[in-house]
Amino acid sequence: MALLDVRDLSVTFSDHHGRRRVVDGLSYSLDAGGSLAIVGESGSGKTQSALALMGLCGPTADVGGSVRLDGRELLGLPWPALQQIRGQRIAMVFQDPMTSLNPYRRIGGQMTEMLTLRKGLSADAARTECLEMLEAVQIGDPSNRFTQFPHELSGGIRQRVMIAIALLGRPDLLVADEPTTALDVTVQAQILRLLADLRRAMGMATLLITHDLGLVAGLCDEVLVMYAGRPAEQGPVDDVFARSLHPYTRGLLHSVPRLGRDPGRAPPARLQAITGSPPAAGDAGPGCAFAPRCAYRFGPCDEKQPEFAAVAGSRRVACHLESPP
Amino acid sequence: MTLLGVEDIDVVYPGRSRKDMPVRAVDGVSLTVDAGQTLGIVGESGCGKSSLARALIGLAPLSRGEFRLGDSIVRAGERRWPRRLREEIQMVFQDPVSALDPRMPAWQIVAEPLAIHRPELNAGQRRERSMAMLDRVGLTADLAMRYPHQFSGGQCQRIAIARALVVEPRLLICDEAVSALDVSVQAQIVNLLAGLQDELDLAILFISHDLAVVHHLSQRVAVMYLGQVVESGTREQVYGLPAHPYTRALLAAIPDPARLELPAVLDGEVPSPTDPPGGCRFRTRCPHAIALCAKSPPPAVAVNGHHAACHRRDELTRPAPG
Repeated sequence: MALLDVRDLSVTFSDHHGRRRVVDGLSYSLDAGGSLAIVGESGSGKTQSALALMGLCGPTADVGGSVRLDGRELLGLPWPALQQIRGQRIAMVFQDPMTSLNPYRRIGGQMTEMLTLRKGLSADAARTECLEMLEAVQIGDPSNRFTQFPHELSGGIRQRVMIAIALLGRPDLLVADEPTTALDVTVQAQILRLLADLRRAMGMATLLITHDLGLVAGLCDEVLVMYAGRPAEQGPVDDVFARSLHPYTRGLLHSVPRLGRDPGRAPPARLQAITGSPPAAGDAGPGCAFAPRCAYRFGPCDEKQPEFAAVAGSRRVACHLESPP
Repeated sequence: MTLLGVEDIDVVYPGRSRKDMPVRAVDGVSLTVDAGQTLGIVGESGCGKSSLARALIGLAPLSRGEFRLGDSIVRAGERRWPRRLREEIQMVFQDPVSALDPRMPAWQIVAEPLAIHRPELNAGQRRERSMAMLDRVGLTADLAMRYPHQFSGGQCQRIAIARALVVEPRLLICDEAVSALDVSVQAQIVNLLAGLQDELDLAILFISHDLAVVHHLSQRVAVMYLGQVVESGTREQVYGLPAHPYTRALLAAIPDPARLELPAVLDGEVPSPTDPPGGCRFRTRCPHAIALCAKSPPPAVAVNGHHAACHRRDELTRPAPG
């Protein structure tokens, strides 16, 4: 049985402008120790879909569908039951390590409370475990870091602290939402390697949320591309990158400048850009949300949404085209 | 032909109090940009790339050295800048939304610089030029009446580019101009800049942390680390045969969807610019550092116009036997 099974997940926000479905018809499953990347641009609903797993979409959100962890339905669980899952079964690392840490409290206090409050450990035992965890995420001189405030740490170290806090509960699933976006490229490489090593060492499943296709390749086995709140394409990472079935995935891969194997060579004069800009989630008409930007648009694209259907083994794609472009 | 020549400039930010150490964000940088060409500047945050750009338009203190653009010269400490220079160097910033006045429609944003730099034009002519420029960056006349909040990020960046180009500058500085945009929109703006450069014979100083975008747009590239240029040369030299260990580390750290392994890792982080390491500044993170690296800062040695500041350049870049 899959560790996490998401079926037909939807997230709808209502305000005085009306209802906006920002995530629609999202289904995937993740095995214990497996890894999935959800890729999308801003407004694609990727973050809301991750927040929905842990009941974090907020009081104005209407979450539909089903999210099962080890067969147990998570949607609609009462708050105390959710608190048992958050941090202990599913943990999350957020994008901006500065705003996720409390600026008024020392690192030590923010780490140990997880263990003293949730697991009832004594202060001493919690401290020992936290120091071990800081070492596991390769932070030098952990006992000194323990007494520091977040502003005294660099961005990379802060993100390591966030990862350490997330791992304290020994979660079965780590959700990482754009964990390296705020970081420099060399520090990003360090954090990616750390996440990959920890995943292997602790055997936890990883759900990576990102806009950067480049990050996916080394860290995850499976990728799900989202566009305007809906799934566009899913499959094993190397398959999807080598032979993408959806025009959007294809466009994304082509529009990013790449150094390739011979960076000394001159690049092409122009990039193959996708025209237009992504719609806000929930803004799409009756047809395929990508149709207005799609080079292969034809009759049915404007009339009805393509189904997210299984093709060729383990892959799925939502496109009216009979054969890939 | 050299358009911009920067000679040995420093940018020093004084501390806020007597206790605060001054920060030398740019330390002895020299570089040139040829007319109609793009110089890419890459480096991590805190390397001084933005301070360098801001010093060229008077937004950061030019503490030492001088730069010239065409016939105009600016020396450190000068209060008055040649008027022409303010017109000839224009800049596009990272966040397109906060760079635009939310209370002005697009055409008015673009017409505003003309009121300063083209006083001979009347209001109607300014409007006409503004509309023509907006059209050139791909915004039609009906869009010109809209306000910034009605545009997407990519469209706002088009307006910012139009505003910079409406006074016909000779040098355009782009400071992370495509970094805040969505991936699919980024390519449009990159193509727009490349097209405008060909059309207008514009020189561009393109500053970015994204090595792939810089590779795509630049003929020459300078790599900065802790306020200094550690390597510079043509794109083919810097990307094809990187001569500085930092450049090699940066290139290895780029994640690429075509590469199914994790990027290589460089240890540690950039040291604080208030107290940079003595000798070679990169030595604290360099896998090849030797005793000499701590003793003296390496001179920037040029081989065929390919500059690199590394004591061990010769032995480290020699091709492996066989």
